[in-house]
Amino acid sequence: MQELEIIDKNILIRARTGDIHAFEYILSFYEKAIYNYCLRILKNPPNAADVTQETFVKVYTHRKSIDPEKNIKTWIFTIATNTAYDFLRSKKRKQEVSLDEGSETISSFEAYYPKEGLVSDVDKALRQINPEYKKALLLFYQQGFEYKEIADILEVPINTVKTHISRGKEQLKDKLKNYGKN
Amino acid sequence: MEKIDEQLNNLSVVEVPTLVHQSVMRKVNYQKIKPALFIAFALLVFNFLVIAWHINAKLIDAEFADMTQDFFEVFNFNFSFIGTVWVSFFEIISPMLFLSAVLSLIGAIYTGKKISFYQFGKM
Repeated sequence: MQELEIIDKNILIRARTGDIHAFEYILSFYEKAIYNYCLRILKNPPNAADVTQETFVKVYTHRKSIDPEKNIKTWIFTIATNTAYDFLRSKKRKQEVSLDEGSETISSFEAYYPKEGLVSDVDKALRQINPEYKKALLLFYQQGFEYKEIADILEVPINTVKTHISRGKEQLKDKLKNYGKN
Repeated sequence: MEKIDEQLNNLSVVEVPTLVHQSVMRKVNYQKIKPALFIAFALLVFNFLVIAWHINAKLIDAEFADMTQDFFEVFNFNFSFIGTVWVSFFEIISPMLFLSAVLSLIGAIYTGKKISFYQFGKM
């Protein structure tokens, strides 16, 4: 999943000026990463699809903020993170779902996978750890961000990111023990 | 712990539903044409106001109030007067003005259809 490719500056400049083809290129480049990130945060494919859409519409709406000199991936993930948590908060207010782990709909996540067994123990364990730790772990391992970038995305100090990753791994290890796989 | 690192690095990845891409592009395209739609609507409203003002001015000149009264009096007794009214209508309102109103209506319907095309269905 880790993508080391960087979008060409010219494309970013064109996207900034409202070029629809440049925007579509950015969309194609990052939609999979954003969708998978949202899917693990929201644990529900239709909600992940909605938040992915909203994220990219926000990217287009705020295209003037694109800085060709900076990594746009960090910016897009910041928007995705905020959008996903706004979504969860609004859902919580409507009492449809809760931010805590107790109300998670495991079936909807697993139902998305066509074959049985594709949801690994790590996936299951990830859904049970602290959401803050999960965000840091996903950004670090799944998306390949560095500590500094994760700190920017989550708007926390670098040391907090390191702590979250470390504690997240500890929690994950404990959960995996319960599955008897680690 | 190394095993966890490895497992986290190899998390399964699912494909994005194709509708996500299409839906985003539809929304973005709509945002792009929104100013044009706004101008089109503004022109339609302006056109409507101009026509309304023009008709009003013409009808006042033609002593519309008296004519309406006459119209209803005659209409009550004789439906055939409709034909006369139809002719009178085009005497009061020029065919060009009427055509302009029809074209405005067609424009409004066309724009409405365009907007419904860009409505976002739930995925």
